[in-house]
Amino acid sequence: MRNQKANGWNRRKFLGGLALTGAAAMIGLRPEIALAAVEPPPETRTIRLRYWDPACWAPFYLAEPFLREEGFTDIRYVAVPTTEFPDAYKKNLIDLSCGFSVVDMYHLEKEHSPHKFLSGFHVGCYALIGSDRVRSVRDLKGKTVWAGSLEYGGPHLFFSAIVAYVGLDPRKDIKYVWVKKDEALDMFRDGKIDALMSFPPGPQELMAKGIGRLLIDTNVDKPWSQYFCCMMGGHSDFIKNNPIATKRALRAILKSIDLVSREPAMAARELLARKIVKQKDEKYVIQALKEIPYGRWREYNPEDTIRFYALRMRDTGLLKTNPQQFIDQHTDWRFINQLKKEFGITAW
Amino acid sequence: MPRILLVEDNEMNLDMLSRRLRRKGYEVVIATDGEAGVTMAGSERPDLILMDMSLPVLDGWESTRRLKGTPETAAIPVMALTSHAMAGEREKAIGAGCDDYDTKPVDFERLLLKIEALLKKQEKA
Amino acid sequence: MKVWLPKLVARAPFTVHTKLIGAFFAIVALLIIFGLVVIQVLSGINRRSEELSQLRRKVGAFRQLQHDTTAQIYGVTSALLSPEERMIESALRQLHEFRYDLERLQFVTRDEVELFGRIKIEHEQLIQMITNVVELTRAQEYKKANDLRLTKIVPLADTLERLTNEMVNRAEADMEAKVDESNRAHMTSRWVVIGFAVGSIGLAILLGYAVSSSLMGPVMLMDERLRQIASGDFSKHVEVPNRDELGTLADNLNRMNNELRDLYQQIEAASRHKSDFLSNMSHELRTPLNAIIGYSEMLTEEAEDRDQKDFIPDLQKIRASGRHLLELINDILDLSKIEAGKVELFPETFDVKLLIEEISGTVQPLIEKNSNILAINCADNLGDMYADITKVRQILFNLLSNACKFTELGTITLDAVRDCSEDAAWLSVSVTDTGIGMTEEQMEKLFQPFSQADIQIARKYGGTGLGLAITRQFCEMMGGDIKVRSEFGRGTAFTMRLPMAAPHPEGDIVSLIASDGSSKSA
Repeated sequence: MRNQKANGWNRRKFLGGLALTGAAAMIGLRPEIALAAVEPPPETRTIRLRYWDPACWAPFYLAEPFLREEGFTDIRYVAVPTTEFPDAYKKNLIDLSCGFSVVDMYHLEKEHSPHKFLSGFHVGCYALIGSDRVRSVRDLKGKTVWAGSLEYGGPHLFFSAIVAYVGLDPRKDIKYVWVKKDEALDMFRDGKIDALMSFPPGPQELMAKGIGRLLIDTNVDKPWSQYFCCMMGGHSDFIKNNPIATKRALRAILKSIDLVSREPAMAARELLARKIVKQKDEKYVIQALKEIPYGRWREYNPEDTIRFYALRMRDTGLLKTNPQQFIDQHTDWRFINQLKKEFGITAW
Repeated sequence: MPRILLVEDNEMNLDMLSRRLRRKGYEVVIATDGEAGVTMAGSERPDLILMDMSLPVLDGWESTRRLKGTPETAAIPVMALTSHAMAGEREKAIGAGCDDYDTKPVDFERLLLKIEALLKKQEKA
Repeated sequence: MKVWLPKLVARAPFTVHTKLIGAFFAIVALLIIFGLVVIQVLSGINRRSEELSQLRRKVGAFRQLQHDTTAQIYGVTSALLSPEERMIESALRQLHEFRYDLERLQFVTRDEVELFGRIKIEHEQLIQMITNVVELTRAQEYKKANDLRLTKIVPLADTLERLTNEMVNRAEADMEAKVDESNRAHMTSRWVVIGFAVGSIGLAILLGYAVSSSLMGPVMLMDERLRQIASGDFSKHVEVPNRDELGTLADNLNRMNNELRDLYQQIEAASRHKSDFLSNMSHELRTPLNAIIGYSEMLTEEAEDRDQKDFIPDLQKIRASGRHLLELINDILDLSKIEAGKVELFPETFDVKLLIEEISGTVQPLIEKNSNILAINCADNLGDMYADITKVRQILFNLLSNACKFTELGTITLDAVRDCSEDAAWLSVSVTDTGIGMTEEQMEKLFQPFSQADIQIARKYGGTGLGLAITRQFCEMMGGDIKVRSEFGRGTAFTMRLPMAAPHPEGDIVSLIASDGSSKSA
């Protein structure tokens, strides 16, 4: 799992870490030092975190300095593609992850991957853009759509929920093309497909060039903007055996979210520096990080997201378990509920 | 005339048979029990022995077996006289070495025919 | 199925009547229990569907609330954008009206009290803010009003909308949970009903089986036992575990068996005594007879020798009477031996034709006595026979002497053939006469002991009347049979059939060709 990219990152972690810590200190993000001091040290100094290509997961990738602050010394980022996500947990390759809510939910039930949802992460990031022939989601009936390069991946599952919400059958009413993202962008430009569902970059680039119209921007369009698109989770055993480490790691990432929320441009540059995103996408990544309302984790009840998507996925037959049962089995909100008090949050 | 040894314990049968055989011209010697019969067969050298089967001292079958087992007397034909009532008597007699048998009460004419037949056979041998 | 259950039912110390009634009531009870279970299940289904429809109403109410919230917020914000007193008043009125709607919703929000409380608080805050904005607007402080609207009202409205959405989500999730529960309960109910149905049927069958087996088993055992008793086997008792009427019946059956067995043994002993008596008596009778016949013959010879012929007819009468008495005694003895099962067969190989010639010689005096002619027709292929020669001889002699007895100035014909049929070789001998013949009635009694055709005949022709009975017994003992055809006044024909090869005493069939074929008989 740890590919070249990950190793390269490790070699340069010192510089990046220093820069971020400096930034964090500069923006005064350390109100809980006293609290952390009385808290016992983490059960383990090693923590393995998932990473993959979505730019919106930036806070996760940039949490390293905060994790060090929480007492972790061996911080590893393990590359886990969507297809291998359940396996990564089953084979115990990762301790904590962020992922698309719907994808993780789907895998949890289907693959019985041993992990639990711990907290919300961020809202939005997905955009559905349509051609001139499409004015609303309902118009997609019978149309050709790109929703990710693989079936039951993030875009596909989100797209399914969205079309089901307006009464279409995501399996029967839509024709899909399963091609690579770059190819799909070209096809959309050439008018070969009518809609395209993707996280940044991609839709932003097309929109900037005046191609297509925005059908749904999950950053702001309700009800999608009211639920976390991505959530954080952890290996069941890790959570059980290392409750303090879990809480500390979660705290570090929440701080990282706050940082990215305040300094999206800096975060984007960091992603570029670590080659998580391509140089050519810099503009769109900065735009995306600015547009994504990272602060929502302070407002939204993560359980409501699970409930909402569980309802949508059950509507489309992607989930068999009923929402409450799913929440009971696959979530653990103890840590976020404790942390929310620390962060001075009373809502939700 | 041929000499017949009659071994019989019943007095009346003995009297009747011996008298009738003598009348027909046979020389008849008499024994009244099996052992005496065997002894007399050796001493008197009869041409034929009429042997009752139910005899005192030594019964007819055993006596016949001894006669046939002794080289001097083995060649003498023995005719068994068996009781009609006893099933399997005849077979026992033949099995003991008797050359022929007849049933009691004796049909004298038939007995004479059988005696002559045995004597003829003996002559030939 | 288990054997112990019928046994248990059988051992139960109740009458058959009680057992049947008990089984019937047990099955009825099972049916009642099954019915109760079904009713329980049905009421469960009804209860769940009611709960489900309540939840549907709740979802509907929350959706309405969600919809109204959105509409209200939209109405208020648009009213605030165009500060016209009439519009503002209307929006405010609707907002307050909406407060009552919220209050009304409280009846369905037992599970979401906290969330609902928050919605109400948010709503109050919204009203407060809107009131503030309205006041600023009325005071013509548009800038301040707009700022307040953007910074406070919009986020508040967002939150309010989100919270109502959450309410809907929760209600929907509750409903989904209830649907699942309902489905699960339905499955469970189905299996409960199926289980109870299968169980009840199984129990009823088991019960029926146990009761019927506990009844039928002994009946069948007793039936079998009665069959055995009927065929003369008194050696066993029937054992049934029942303590009911059937148990009593079995006890009585066993008692009857014992009584019959004792009776049978007594009869058997009596029969044996009779046979023994007959056997002994005939033996004892024969010794003096021997003397009578022997001495009468001697006296006849003596009389002839001394030329005292006056005595001869009388002496011959004594001799003939003695002979007749001897025949009678021999026949009685034969028959009693046959009846007592004391007759054994001693098969040997002999030439059939020679035997027939010997017998024809023996019967010649009888033939001549009534001036008859004997004709003998022997087939060329008769060959050797393996059988008890004494018995065969007696059979043939009996048949011929019988024919002689009832024929005068006639012809008696003996036909002997070798008959190959039914996978075996048979000797078939017919003795046909031209004598007095028999009526149908006479033929029926023919082979029974002491039953000459009638008394006149017995007086006229003499004989013991046992000859044919013995003949038939011998034929059957040797695996053959005998048949008769007769016409009154015209003659009679007896045909007997015997297997050419009797079963060997050791059980083998001795090959006739392999044996030496010499006859040991004279």
